[in-house]
Amino acid sequence: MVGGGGSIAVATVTLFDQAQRLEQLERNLEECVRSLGAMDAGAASRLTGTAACRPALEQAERGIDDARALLGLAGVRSGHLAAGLQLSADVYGAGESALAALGERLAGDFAAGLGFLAARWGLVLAPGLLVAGSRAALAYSVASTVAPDATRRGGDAAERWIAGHRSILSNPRFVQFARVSIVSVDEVVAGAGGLPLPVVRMLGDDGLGLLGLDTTVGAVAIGASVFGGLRETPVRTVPVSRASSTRADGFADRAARVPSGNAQVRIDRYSAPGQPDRFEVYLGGTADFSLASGKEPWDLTSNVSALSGEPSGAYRAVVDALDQAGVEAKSPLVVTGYSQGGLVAAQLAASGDYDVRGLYTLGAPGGQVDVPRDVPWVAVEHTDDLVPALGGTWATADPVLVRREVFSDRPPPLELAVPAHAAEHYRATAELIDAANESRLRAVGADFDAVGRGAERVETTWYQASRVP
Amino acid sequence: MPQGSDSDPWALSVMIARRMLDEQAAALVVLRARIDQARVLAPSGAETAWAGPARRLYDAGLDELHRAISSAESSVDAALADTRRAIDTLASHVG
Repeated sequence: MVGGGGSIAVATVTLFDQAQRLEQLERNLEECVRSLGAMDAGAASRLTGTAACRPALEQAERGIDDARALLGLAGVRSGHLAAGLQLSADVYGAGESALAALGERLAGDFAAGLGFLAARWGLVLAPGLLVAGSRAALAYSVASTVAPDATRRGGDAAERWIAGHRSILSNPRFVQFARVSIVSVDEVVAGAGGLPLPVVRMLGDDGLGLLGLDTTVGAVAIGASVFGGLRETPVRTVPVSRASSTRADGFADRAARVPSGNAQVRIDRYSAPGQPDRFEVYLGGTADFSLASGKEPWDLTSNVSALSGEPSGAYRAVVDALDQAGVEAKSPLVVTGYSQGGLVAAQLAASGDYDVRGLYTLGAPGGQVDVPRDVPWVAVEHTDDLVPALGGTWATADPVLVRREVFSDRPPPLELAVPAHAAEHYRATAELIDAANESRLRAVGADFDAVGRGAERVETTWYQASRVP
Repeated sequence: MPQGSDSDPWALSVMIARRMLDEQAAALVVLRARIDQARVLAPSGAETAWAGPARRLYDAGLDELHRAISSAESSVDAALADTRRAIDTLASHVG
């Protein structure tokens, strides 16, 4: 499915493909009408010696006139159908957008109510819960001492249950639920604080914006830092490899260029005599999921920092790499990023510090990043991938949104927590994008390609960043 | 007046008419092929999982479109047959 551009329109590629075919049909039929109009079937009958064949010629002339009228009608009808199809798709998209907004508001209200009730039930139930919790902890500690095997079996059973139900993480409905819920966590807290619903709404994303995903994640980061986790550090970025290369060509090619090794950043410099250099940047995904900050800046700390709107270690590393590569504020730039790299890419585009001519994100939790609408952006999301949903609902940006369910025809493999997030699946989707003859994707793809047009030399540099304790 | 001589104005007129009709027939054959090619572009409507009132209107519109193109093809076929009949008639009178 492809959507975006004007509204958060959602429609199938097939629908848009049919609209394009109908527009082409209209043009072809108009050409046929012009050809028929150029025929003068009566001319021969006006010549001497053709009286005998005149009845046949008159009939031929009528047939040509009829064909011209019918093809003209078919052409007009084809144009109307193409326009209607496009309109239906847009209206469908607007409808879906309105439903999504309604769903988000209801989720927020529900969350605030849940928090309100939980707080009050908590007051009543807290002594009982405390006692029950203490008893459970005591029972567990006694059991693990008296019967360690049985206790371990209990723990194993819990792990098995989680493994057995892991597929729910790849359920598109759960993913959508998570997307809407995650922007409502703050409403739960506000509701628990006893704030009335209208006040919660006023403070929320639809009002003053004081409550939001960034507030929630920021609070999590502060909370974790108390225990020594999720702490930001300075970063150091160094070039580790150089090579000559070729211009990027298409969505699949760009997806294939996203780094997956030790180097997290790839920068391609496009050069041509007498012209300023242009650049394409490729950013890899999260490499370290531990709570404590180690050497790797593409870690959970950076994810949390980025989602809370702070300059993450990964973001600062990319800015440093761009600076080392000679990227200036006016250098034309296309940014491609996968997962956390996509989030950083969106933040680069939103920063206004660079002349970003194209943004291409794959499985990135970037829904809440305020990327200007004039930046051509293709955002690829798998509907069974939880990671992009962690970025919340689409707020103000309006990318051309490509959605695909990876495991629509088979169960997801259980060895991975979020199998649809795997880079290989996003690369496969990128190949499908190249194959799809969709006008908006073609238009954005042309914007991407325009940055490198005329380049005579392409130099690639890989950068590796590390945290400095 | 002898018929069939190149210097005969009547024969010359018939020859010109014959050439014009041959060209018209050839143009109609080409046009017929182009309509056939264009018709392939017209969706059948069965290719999408889209449903609802808008889909029904769309399908009805596609039916009308296919009918209009079919009728146009029939008209071109008839015009071509009439043109060939005129050519035959002309040939039999000249011959």
